[in-house]
Amino acid sequence: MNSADRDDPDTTQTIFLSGPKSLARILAQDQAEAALWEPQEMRAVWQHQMRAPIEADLAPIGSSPQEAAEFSDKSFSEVLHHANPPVALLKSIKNFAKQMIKDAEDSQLKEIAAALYYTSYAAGITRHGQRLGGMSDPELRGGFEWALGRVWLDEKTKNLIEEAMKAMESPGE
Amino acid sequence: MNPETQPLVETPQLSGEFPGTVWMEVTDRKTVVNRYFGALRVYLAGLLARFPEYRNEADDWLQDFIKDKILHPGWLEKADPNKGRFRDLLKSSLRNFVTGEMRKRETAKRGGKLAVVALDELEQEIPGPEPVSASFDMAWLQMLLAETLEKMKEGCAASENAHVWKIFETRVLQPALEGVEPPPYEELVARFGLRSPAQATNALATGKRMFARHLRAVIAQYESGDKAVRAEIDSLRVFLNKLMPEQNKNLEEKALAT
Repeated sequence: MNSADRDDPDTTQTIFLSGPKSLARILAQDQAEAALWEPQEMRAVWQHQMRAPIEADLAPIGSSPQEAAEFSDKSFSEVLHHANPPVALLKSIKNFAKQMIKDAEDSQLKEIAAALYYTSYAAGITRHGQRLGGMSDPELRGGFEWALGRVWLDEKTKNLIEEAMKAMESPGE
Repeated sequence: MNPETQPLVETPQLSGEFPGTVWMEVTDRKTVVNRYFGALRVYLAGLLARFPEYRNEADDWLQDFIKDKILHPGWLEKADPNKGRFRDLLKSSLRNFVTGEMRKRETAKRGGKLAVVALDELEQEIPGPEPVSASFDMAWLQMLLAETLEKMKEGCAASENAHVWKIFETRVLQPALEGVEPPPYEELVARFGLRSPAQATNALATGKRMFARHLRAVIAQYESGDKAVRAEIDSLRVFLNKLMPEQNKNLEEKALAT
């Protein structure tokens, strides 16, 4: 049994045995601007997002398209890296990410959402030659470059984005 | 200790009620006594540390201070939030009370004649605000955080957010109290079955918000207004920083390097 599972009613009482360093760490939680996750944990957060089942995020916002029912038990990674993902589902992922960028109060979660947003655009371009929304070339290119600059983004996703950038440069091919 | 002196108070119950929300709450004498007894006792022990002949008087003097000052009708009502922090008022009052008692004893020893030790000299003998005051402020902060966390835990249970408390406890509290690295993100996700980053982030962010809200509510019981509450938190942070010179040095070096 780990420490979190213990029914330990005295956790808060341990405060009375604690020194300044411990108290300072707890008091620091009052500062809203402090990041929730360590910078080195962003890779794990992104990986968690990619392996999360899409219905865990899309269902609560009523954004699971019926034509993508067969993908309902898939993860974000399985959909975004699928050879032929339903466009409607990619659009749902893009809209979900956009909503998260707008609603999330945490800047790290906003970053994860932005990466998901551009990845869905990249999947639409590479798999279907389609833009999922109304972003202009410069806006999209800027977004892709931003995503490629994230050290925590996995190689497979970076490759997908680079592929989309190439497709934008030579649309006729 | 005088065996006839009955304890006026019991050791405060840290999970006790926090009924009020404003400065006026401190005029509830019994609440004040129960809440601040521990900090006052620690402070008094510090004050008397340099006077071994008076150490045995600590319990009696604390009881007398509570009876003659805090419980005395009108004394707390004179407290003016515009004239400073409530905990400073308690400290300075206890300090003055002890100085008076010591003066009386010195005079009595000399058959009612004026003390050989002059008043100002005696007052100077009582250590200054540091480090005696630090022990009081530490006890105060411990009490404050314990109350805050207790209220937060109760709030989480009442709102069926027990997982928020558990995550906060695992990621923030236990590492802080045990001086260890917090469990990494993956471990937290696996342990609590968090399905997405949004779920994990919201749970931890909610915990932090609840902590901040309860901390302010607890402080608001003796400091009135957002500004005063903010100032109290800042002063406690400054106080802790002063106790950690090494850490401050590292921070300063980091700041200069950037």
